[in-house]
Amino acid sequence: MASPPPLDAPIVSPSQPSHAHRAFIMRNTTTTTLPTIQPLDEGYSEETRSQSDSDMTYAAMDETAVADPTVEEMLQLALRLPEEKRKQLTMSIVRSLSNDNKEHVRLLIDHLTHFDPASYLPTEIMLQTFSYLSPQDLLTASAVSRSWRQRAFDERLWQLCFAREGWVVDPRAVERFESAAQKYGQARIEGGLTTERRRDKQPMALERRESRKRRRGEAFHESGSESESAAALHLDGVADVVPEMVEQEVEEMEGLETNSHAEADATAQSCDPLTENGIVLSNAVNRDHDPDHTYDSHIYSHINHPPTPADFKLRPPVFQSTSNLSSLKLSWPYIYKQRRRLEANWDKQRYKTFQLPHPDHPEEGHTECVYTIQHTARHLVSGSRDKTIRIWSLKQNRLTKILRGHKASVLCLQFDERPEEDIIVSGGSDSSVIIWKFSTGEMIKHIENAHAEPILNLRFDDRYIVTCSKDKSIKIWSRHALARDSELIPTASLEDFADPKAGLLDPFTHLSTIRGHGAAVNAVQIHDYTIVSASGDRTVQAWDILSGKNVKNYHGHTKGIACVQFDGRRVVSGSSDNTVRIFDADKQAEVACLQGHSKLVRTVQARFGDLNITTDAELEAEARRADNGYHRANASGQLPTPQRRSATPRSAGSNRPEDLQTLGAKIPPGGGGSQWAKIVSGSYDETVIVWRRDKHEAGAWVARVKLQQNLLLRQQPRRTRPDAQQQQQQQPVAAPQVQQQPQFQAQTQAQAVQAAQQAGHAAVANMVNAALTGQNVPPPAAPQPPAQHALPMGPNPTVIPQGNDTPARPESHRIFKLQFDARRIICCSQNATIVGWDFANGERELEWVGEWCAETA
Amino acid sequence: MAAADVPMVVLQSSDESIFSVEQKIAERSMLIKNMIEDLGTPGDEPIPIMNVTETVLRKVLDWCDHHKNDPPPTTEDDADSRKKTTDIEDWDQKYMQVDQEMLFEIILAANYMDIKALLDVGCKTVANMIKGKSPEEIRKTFNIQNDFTPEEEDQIRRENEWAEDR
Repeated sequence: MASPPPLDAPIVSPSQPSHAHRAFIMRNTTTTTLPTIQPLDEGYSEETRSQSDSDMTYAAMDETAVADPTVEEMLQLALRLPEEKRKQLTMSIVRSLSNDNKEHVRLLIDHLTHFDPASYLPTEIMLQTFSYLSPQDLLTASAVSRSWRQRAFDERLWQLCFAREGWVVDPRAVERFESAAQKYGQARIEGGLTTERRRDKQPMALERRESRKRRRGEAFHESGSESESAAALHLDGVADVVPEMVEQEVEEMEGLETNSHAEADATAQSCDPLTENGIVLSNAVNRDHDPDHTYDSHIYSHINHPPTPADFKLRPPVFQSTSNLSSLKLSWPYIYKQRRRLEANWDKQRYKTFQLPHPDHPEEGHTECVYTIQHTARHLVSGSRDKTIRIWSLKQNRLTKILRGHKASVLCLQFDERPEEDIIVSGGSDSSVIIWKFSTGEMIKHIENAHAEPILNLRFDDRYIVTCSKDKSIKIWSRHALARDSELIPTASLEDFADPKAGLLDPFTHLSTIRGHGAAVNAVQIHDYTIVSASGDRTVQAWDILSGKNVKNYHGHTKGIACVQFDGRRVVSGSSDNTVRIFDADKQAEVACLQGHSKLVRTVQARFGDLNITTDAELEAEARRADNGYHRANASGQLPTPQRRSATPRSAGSNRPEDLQTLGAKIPPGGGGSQWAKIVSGSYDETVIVWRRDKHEAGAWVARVKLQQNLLLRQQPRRTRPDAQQQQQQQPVAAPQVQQQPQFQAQTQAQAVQAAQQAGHAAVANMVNAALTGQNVPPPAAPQPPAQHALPMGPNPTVIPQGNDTPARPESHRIFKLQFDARRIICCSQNATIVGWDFANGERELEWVGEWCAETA
Repeated sequence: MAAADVPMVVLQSSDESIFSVEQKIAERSMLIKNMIEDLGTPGDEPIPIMNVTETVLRKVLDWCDHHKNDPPPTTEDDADSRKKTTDIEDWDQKYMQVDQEMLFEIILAANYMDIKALLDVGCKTVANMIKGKSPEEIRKTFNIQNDFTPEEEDQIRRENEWAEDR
């Protein structure tokens, strides 16, 4: 392979190649050619590397040529000829040469006509060129040469790559990390430690790293060479920033426990990092018990010596190379890489499971089933039939607060932890809505009898709170104090509020009521000035907030609808007809129907991952291309007859002409979005399905992973010995289903069945078997919901939780609510335990990137 | 239409060749357009295009002539570049079938003369020469010296495995 170029080899000036190139021709035509040609051949490729002998000959020949005055004279003569003549002459001479020498001429010509753009073009233009490359091509480019490598790892390029995937970062989370890293580095320096002393200790630090229980550098499984170790080392140093961040958070939590009453003791105990052996805290404990703090030095040495751009960097470093002590910035190649690796874990079904309460602290858990959850990177808030709301830290999986106020089941909630919002809104079976302060748990407002019947769902943004109820109505409330003629007030209500003598409208004022559904309204969404609602009356409807009028209707589901999501472009809904459907929000057309659950789809979340630059026009253009495919196929007689078409199953959103369900939609079949688009749905069949668009299936949605909520809990019976539980937690407990890999499926299926049988639940084993072998197997004796679950309207009403009316059924794991983000899926069910799948899979770097990426909705 | 009705400008290449060009064509170059705006209606005085030789300037003006009726660049072009489409229209593709030196010189000239659309086409052309190739193929394409050690190459190859197609 390649060897380094000779140090003394002159190289064509990279700054002005065209001039240098001309100068080179000049030199060629006059005097010395030897020193210029040699390094060029050297640099050409491996083909020439074995030709050092012939290089010598070539050089020798040239020297003879220069030394011989006759040749020199002939050359001068020839050069005076016009170009056409020179060409003829040269061609004749080349023909006269041996093949060996012809090859030499060819190489020379190659060299004279091919140029390294990285040398020829200014860096900015090279970067623009690189901006047209995929991440894969960029990585290839980075392996071409050192100067290409330096350009290919440009920060802006990778920021662009990241945005093109439809991924987003939470700037606050990134800033938090950067400033913690910064503070940490500075603290070390203030300790008066010299870099040299620190450096001397590196070998020891390396040993320590390897002896630690939990290796951070799982990405670096190929450790061995010096540069790799060094890369791992500086990463490792940064890893130790995080415990400090955890400790800060713990302090924060301790300051806030005022509102937990009976649980105060448990909470306080849970907040002491030293008494716990929680997963996240273990590093903090290690460090605190380590008098030397040796491995802390690596972040310091990294900060103090940011690598110069010319350094050979095997892996993207965590921080940008221009970082200095006053401003550490995360590097985009690094963020991109880790984000992509996190996605690979979703694809490969690599995850760790966890649960709330932590198995060591069962006393922190809800005592009855959990109807609703929402989470961010750091917190989860849950609402239960036990009438409480619980706030959890997802760092430690520990309870931090209990909020009491509802007189019956908490059925729905939403929260926003950002300091300027600092709010939880909850609704319950007691027909009341409560507004809480997230940071303190203090009740800000209790709206009793907000509706005539239980509040089934609610959403808020920075202007409105929207609630929906079993009483068939939707209500709109203000978030903040409003002027009485505010443009946010629905038109019909303006008159009611018009009172020139009165002051502002209070926050949380009831602004208007929307009636129109024929049954309980199970779910609402708000986007801009549109509310989308899903009802047991089998319809999804869109309403204009200001006029209060129905503006869209989405038909397709054959039974009541339990859940809905609306992002402005698509409506995604889950129904008692066991399907998830995607509708074109504007044209109201169904663009995909996802079949995979065997019972009611109770909860769904979709992330299409539109680029923030995708315009409606572009999506529509994609839709038109699909239409044209249909028309072409239709014209050429390739489509089945109408009779046969109606017999084919509903399309899961592929762009095949024969699968197209709708012409003239605004969004393409399946809904469009990035290659990472995901839909996650949870059902009364006790499974969670992760749907992905399959490029081998013309972009149709495919049930990529089926996660078994019940199995997880079967294997982890509560209140057994902690050590036994931990052991169990190490096992992969959820049973993945991979359609493309039947062998793997069979294997996991067997494992799952075995696991269930071990747990002593033969019936469950059968159910698991059914769930795994495919969607067509009928579920074993599906228990019919008790009569009081049924909604009053419709022949096939959607089942909804009725809070205290529901008898506790410990055997059931019907999924009530789930949420996913870049890193986790978390769901709650008829069981009191909240369970989650963490695709960071225990890797610290993936946990970081999961926190930086705010892809919660 | 009489030729006399068409406003013309005179350009001078770095090697002092003189081009008489329709103003509309020359103004595809923002450099020239701004110069004309700043200096008033061009007279017979040639506008010097300092960094561009006769051959390259002729080639660049060919492009400007073909694209003289294109709409002015919009902000959408920026969004377009973010989406990394390397599609090049047929005429431009043929236009860009030149030797590498000319290709790079066109890019440099487009950059200097501030002709964004031509610069984009040039960069896309180079990008298309890189796409889908192995490092060794790229080195051959551009006659680039491999300055990595075999060990480094091997490490890079293994490190890059994380991005392999899913």
